[in-house]
Amino acid sequence: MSAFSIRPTLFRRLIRKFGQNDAKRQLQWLKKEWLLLEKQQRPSLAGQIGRLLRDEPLAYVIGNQPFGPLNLRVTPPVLIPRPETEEWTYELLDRLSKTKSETKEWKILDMCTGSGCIPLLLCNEWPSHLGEEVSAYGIDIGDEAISLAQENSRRVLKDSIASPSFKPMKFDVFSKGFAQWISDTGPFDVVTSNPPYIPEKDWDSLPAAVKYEDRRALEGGKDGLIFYRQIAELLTKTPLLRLGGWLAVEFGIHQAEDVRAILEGSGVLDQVDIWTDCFGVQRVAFCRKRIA
Amino acid sequence: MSKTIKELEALVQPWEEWKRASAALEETVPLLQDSDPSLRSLAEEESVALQETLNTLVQEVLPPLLLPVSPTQDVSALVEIKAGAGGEEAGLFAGDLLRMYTRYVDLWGRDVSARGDPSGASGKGWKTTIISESLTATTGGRPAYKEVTLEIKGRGAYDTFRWETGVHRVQRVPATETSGRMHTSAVAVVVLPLTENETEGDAALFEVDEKDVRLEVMRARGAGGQHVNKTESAVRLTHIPTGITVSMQDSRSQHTNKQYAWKVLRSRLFDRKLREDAERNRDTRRTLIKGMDRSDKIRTYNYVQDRVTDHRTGFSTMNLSNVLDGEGLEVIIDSCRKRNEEDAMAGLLNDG
Repeated sequence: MSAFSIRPTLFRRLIRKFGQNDAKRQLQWLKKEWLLLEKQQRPSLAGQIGRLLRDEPLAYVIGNQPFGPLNLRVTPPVLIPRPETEEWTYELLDRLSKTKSETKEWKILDMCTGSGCIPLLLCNEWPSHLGEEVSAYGIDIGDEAISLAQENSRRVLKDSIASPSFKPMKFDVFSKGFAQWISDTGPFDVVTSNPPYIPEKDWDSLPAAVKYEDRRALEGGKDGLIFYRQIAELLTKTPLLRLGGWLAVEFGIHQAEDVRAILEGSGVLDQVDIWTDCFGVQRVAFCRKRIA
Repeated sequence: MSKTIKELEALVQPWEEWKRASAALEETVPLLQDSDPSLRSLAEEESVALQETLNTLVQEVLPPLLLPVSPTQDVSALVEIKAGAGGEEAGLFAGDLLRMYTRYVDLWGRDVSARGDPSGASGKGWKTTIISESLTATTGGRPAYKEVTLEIKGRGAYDTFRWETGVHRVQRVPATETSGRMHTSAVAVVVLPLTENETEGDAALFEVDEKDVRLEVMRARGAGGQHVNKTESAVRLTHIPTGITVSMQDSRSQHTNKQYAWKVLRSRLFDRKLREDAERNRDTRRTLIKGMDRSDKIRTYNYVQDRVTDHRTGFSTMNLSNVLDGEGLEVIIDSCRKRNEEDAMAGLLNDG
């Protein structure tokens, strides 16, 4: 197939499912990516549209997702980077760049890294006045996530062994092995996380497209808060953050006050700042480890 | 202040040269009547050469230096190309113009980006990026555009491309036309000045206060975050004091859409400011307004006669494909630039 064309009946089904504007937009994005491929590598359009009609997310159908200037590969079932995460990662960069350099060598840890989007964007957009040495680590429990994050690291950082570097590693956040690794590798200057935060009871009512993603990347226990309790635990019991180090954690709708209470309960943080995303939802807690 | 000194430096050297040549000529004059014939012929040669130097300085080197330095000499450009009357034909021609500008930058970007730089340092070269496009269905394989916006990044891009603002008319037999009838269609081009807040370190030429701009995003996102994985990246910016709005939805990255929308908004506001300044300032009005009227038909591309005519300068060239390949465009742009310089000079003299 050399020209981009689809059967009118398929187009009509797409419009019925997504509405006129959305259907057109999705088709345009499919087309853009489709035209970038060599003729022999182009997938069947009918097949791609069939996947959209079966609720598969566009990013999986296309196989990539832009995140700022990065073009990240995404494959099922690894969590697709969200615009909210893109927005707050830039907010974190903005806050970091407004400070004077506190250290020459920056160590970054991203927990539940998935595609590696957060640490890779931090590495790519790192404000040079803060210092050139940046080593980022991303940990995740999923094998698919680890290999995808490795692939994205090669895509973005071009296999460079020099700074900045990004190293995905397989760990369970709740395991003793992880706590031990933190003791060996920490403390970190910046810790970020977009942990699974959807409460168990919300699972059934999630859109079908979301259920294409790994449940382990979405569900955070009964109340969706188990990862924040573990982060608070690690903050007090391990050298996770250096004094004055930065913590940024994403959370779900209506969880701001619970997350604030849990983090403050660790007793080692300065004031927890709750930040609201551009869709008007409280989304991230920014805080720093108390110095005194 | 240091900027003024830098601008005047360009004048100093030719002026010194003129003084030197003119003093030398004065010294030569008495020798023309010397009793020694060999000395006399030497003096004659010398005076001819000196007069030539003086003429070149007065006629070619000094006049453009006397013109005020363009305030936009470092500014990048956003080129908006919109298909007008003529249906698919206009859309195809919009694609031809896009290709012409992209090729022009590939061919000439490095040379002309040094233009207007008083220190004469060569430019770094320009870079083009399509920041938004809207295509229509085509019958052939070539893309037809409803609208496309091209960013040309690099110093001098705006001052070079601003002459492209206006209506471009094409006369040709469309590939789809079986009866061989000639069609006339039109494409509107608007060239806007583009500055990046971050690159204009010292005393930014133009700034937009972020507090004046409202950002709107897709509303139906509900809980958002991990609860939703629909691609919702469209943004709209509104500049509250002027009511100017820019929507952007080309990228699947919301951040990229935001960034591009900011570029377009900044350019439109900068353009607006330049127009207001021009209207306030009688001196520049004559020259600026001429280059800034958008509804004027400025150029015709006649395929049947293989000719491109610029209606402002009357400049005409017979090699149409050479122009559309970007190579021949430089002569046309240069003729517009020179015409503008002449007009500006005349303006200066009239104001005496």
